[in-house]
Amino acid sequence: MKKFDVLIIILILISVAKGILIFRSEDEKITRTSEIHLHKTVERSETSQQELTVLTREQSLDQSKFQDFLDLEFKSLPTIDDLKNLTEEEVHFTPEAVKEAGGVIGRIQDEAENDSSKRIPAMNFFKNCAEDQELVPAVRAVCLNKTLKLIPIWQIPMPLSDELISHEISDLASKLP
Amino acid sequence: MKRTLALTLALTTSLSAGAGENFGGIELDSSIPATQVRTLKEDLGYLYSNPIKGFDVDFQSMAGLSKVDGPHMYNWLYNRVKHIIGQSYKLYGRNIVKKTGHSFPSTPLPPSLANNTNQFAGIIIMSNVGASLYVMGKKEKKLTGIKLGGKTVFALSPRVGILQVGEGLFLERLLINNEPNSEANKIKRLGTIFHEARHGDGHSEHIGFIHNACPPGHALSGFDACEASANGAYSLEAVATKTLLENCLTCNNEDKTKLEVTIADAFSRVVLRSHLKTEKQLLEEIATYQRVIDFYIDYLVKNPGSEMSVKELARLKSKVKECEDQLQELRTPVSAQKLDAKPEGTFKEASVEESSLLMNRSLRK
Repeated sequence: MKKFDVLIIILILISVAKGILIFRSEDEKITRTSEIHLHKTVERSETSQQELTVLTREQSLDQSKFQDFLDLEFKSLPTIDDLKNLTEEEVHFTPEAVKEAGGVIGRIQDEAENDSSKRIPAMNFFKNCAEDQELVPAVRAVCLNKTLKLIPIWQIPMPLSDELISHEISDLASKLP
Repeated sequence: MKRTLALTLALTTSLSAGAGENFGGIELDSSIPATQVRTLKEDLGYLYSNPIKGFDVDFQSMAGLSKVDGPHMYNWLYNRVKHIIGQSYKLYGRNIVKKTGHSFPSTPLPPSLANNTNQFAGIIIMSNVGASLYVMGKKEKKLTGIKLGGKTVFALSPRVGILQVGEGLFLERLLINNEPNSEANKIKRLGTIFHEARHGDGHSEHIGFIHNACPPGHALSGFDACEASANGAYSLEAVATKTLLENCLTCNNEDKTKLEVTIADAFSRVVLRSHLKTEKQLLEEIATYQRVIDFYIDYLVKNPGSEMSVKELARLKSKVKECEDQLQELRTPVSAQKLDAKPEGTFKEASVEESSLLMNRSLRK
């Protein structure tokens, strides 16, 4: 029986390690988050080995799916070039694509609030968005504002590049609620 | 009998919508579809009844409010919005009335308007028609007005307060969420109304706080969608939206972030410089032009008759001059100034008590 438990734990560790690799980060927070998940999964393992294997597999799948989702959403963020194709009327007030980008950022934050294992990839998304000079400044400012607000709340260190974030973007972010 | 009663009620409702109505002292013209009238009434009622527990201090100073609460915010709007017309209202032909003999203030017009650039045309979400009529009249030296509900309303000031709403203000895809009368959508629409209402302020060269062309380097470069002052329509829209967002009780995270991005977008349009290039970019640009200039100088020595090269040399030299001017501008730091919001012409300022009385009457109905 003890040998069986050890085997289960090894299986879990492998699955969780795979999950960590997806994040490609050296942050120790990931390990802490993974430990919490590991602990929860071990508790569940008392029920059945089959259920556990399915659960751990689903978990890593979820994480990789989330990264795919983030990659896809990142591509949907409006660039400065996208705005050039709009008409005078469409740019008089906030263009639809810019407003929708706010929805994307909000949804990602929600996902990460509800599942702490998604916080590091979400934080990376916000950082990359804030630093991407091709994106619309208003969207970058909201991403920067999220990053700065969430670092102390989520306890995730996320260094930002001064070279990539201009004074205009920082100034804009500082004016947001 | 029931059917007759229902038909009578339906007819009465459609007739009353057709005749236009007054809500909180604001005339909602019959050209506005009934559903839009209902939404506008709810939005204005929401603003007036908002207790406002926290607010952006910039909003208070920018709007010049002694106190920030629903009645004071509504009063600010009421002093700038007296009539709202629908998208179907035709701003030409018999609806336009002109009268000679009116004496306009002898202040100058903004250069862009004096040079025939119509900054007010073609806005589909909302536009301040009143300010446009006043400026048009001033330019032509003819008092201009429009026919509304059987009367002629003349634009004696940009503050005459005639706004036109387009269907864009109510379109689901342009709103925050798919619940048209949600708090988040009310905030979005009210932000737009505050923006347009601000176009009724200002005088002389900054009459109507009209927009400027966004400079090179700006995301909206070339569009007339920026402003150089720190208290224009975009700034006011941003701080008003921010204040309402801070008091939103039902906004979820997605709603909030969408509203935040609209606030950031509005703030991003306040641009003081004629360009958004960095010093490094400008120096690189100058060096590149200089290398090409040197080439043409040599080329012209060897080929003195090349007219095309002479022209190109002149063009490149003017580009270098432009970059040098921009560099000079960049090295002389200035911050956006607040312009005097006092409007010109004749208008009457209503007190908070007056506008509150009108709104309370409408809300009691």
